[in-house]
Amino acid sequence: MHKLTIHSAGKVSSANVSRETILLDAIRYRGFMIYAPCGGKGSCGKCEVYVRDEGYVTSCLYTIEEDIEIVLPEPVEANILAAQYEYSRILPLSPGPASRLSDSPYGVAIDLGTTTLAFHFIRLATGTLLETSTVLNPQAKYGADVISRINYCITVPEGLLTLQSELIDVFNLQLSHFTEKSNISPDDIVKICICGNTTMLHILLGVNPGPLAFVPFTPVFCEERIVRASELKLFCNPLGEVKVLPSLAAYIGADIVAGIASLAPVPAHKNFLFIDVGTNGEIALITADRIWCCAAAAGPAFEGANIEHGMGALQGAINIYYGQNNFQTIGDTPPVGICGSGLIDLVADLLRSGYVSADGYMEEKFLVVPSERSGNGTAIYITPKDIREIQLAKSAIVSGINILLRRTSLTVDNIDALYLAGGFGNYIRKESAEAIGLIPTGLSEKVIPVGNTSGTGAILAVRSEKFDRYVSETLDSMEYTELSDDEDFALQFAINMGF
Amino acid sequence: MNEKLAKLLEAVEYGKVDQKSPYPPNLKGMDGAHELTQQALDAGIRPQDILEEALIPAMGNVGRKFSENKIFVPQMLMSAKAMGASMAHLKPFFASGKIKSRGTFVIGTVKGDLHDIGKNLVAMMVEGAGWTIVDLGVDVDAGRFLEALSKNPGAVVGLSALLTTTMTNMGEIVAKIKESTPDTVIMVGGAPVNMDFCRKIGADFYAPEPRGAVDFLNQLAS
Repeated sequence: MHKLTIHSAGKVSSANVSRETILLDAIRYRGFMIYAPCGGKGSCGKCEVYVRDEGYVTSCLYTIEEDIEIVLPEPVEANILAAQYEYSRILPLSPGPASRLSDSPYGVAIDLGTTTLAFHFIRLATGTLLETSTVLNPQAKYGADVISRINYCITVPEGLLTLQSELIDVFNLQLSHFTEKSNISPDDIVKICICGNTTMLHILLGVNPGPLAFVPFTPVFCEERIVRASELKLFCNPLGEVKVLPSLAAYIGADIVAGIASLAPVPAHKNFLFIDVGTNGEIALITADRIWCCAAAAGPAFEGANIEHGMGALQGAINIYYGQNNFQTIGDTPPVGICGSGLIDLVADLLRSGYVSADGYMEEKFLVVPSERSGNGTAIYITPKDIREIQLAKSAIVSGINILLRRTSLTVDNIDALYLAGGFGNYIRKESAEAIGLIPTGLSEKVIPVGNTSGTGAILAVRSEKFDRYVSETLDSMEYTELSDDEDFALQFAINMGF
Repeated sequence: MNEKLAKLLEAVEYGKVDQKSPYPPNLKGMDGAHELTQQALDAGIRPQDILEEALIPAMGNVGRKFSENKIFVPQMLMSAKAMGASMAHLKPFFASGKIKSRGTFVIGTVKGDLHDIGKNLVAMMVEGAGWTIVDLGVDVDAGRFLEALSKNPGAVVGLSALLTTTMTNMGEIVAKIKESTPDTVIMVGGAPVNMDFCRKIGADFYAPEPRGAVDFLNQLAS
């Protein structure tokens, strides 16, 4: 046995661990959150912790062989901009029968993302949005993307149960935090509506997501599910209603369906695109009678994973890069990494200066922030391999757009607007997105950031039973295209990798 | 070297498919692999020499530049297309035995997985090294690999997967092949695959990029 002493957020705790335990496992076992996008395979180097007398180590590769004392990184709460309401539907308040379970009923809308979870607390008597909080998905330590989560469920005994409990625990933490702070009884929370991608919704309800990761990618369920809060052991009214909104397919989840249903587009916009850039990139082309959609496996590069100094939209992330070492960080704190919008700016700038050539070739890594200016003493670079990752991600998205356009025989000129969802849409600079070819030429002028539409959809579902109709109308008109089946996709994908 | 072969080498290395192809921009309007191969054959150059002095070194350069991160998937794919245009002219000579193949390589993306870009690149690089390719496509189960092996005894097998989940299907396929023909050499590849996994499932070789596969096969053939 060895003694492990953990310093985290100003507190010290210690524990005995058996010999040759992997440090990452020991930390997780004690309930601490460590971000490990590669799932502990030793390939991303992001699960670093500070070991006294030894310095920073990659915790998934470190075996405990003596008594050690470690310091965990400062916990940073995910900072995603709140949903924007300008382009959202407005519906009359009608929260439904569950609201009669309490004299002062509350509802919660949850956007269950692969990387981030957003909770919106609503007073059902008035429909007022009282509070929004965002936290990282605690499953992130098992891998950054849905495939690694599914893999965990099917290869680790009780894996599905573990991942499900992670979600329930974080839900309960948020629920009790809210009830305590607002001085209300858990019984007053009577309605919870949840949007998320199909994998997350399977895991939440304890349904095996295995089939989602193999041809023919058939979900176990797509339809709306309503369960009692007690069935999920949630800290709220046990008779409360938990509504999981419906999905379309394995890779078009309730987050997209409800996101599109939540939109109130400008009436003049007849044909428009809706793109949600998250850990995956879902694309929909909305026309008068049909909604054509596809999911582009953009990968988590724009969420900062697979990028050497990449990170999510958290405090200290470079989110805007103006060139010449001028940049802005989230929270205006010293920079510790680069998030998606910052990456796009940077690549656009490197292309303009010729440091990166149009085919994506970069001779040597580029110093963005020297160590003495960074927030953690480590210099921030962008590497040639990062550029390749960005090429893959942006090509997946732009190829998806092109394939939907071809399906409908429309061209960029026929597209009236591009509604860009996801936290990253708020920070993204249109000219940079066009410069790197993430958005086809001619469309950048038409970009409208709409924030977290999945969250907006969940909020609408909490507030109004009438939202159901819009969700089912959306679902009925959706036409799914599986890109990996499309003959043209491979060639498109290759060609669009150029800048 | 013969001037025509030097031009063909260049066309394949830089991905010039034919005269009307707009790619690459700096070779616009010039003859591509399609025309240059026909001209070489018309000039009486032996098909074997076209393969050995133009195509193989061209694809060798492409593989090297890819592993040095100087070029990326698109350029490699265009080179592969150019090689394909040249190969179309040479196919009859393989069939008639005028060109000697270095061996047969059976390749496929494993069951449950539809991703074929990586698989195609490896197939083309191996073809460009003078091997005969049997491409089984995507979502291929053990049965189809066994069937291909019974038609092509002694062939080397390549398994590809892009997903951590579908990668697990490789183990079953390797086991079935080794059970039926223990001497079959099996290579595995794809983004989530590594050497540890290769050893664990009893496959014979793994490389992180196509060039490694080509080098390994060439050693086998020599």
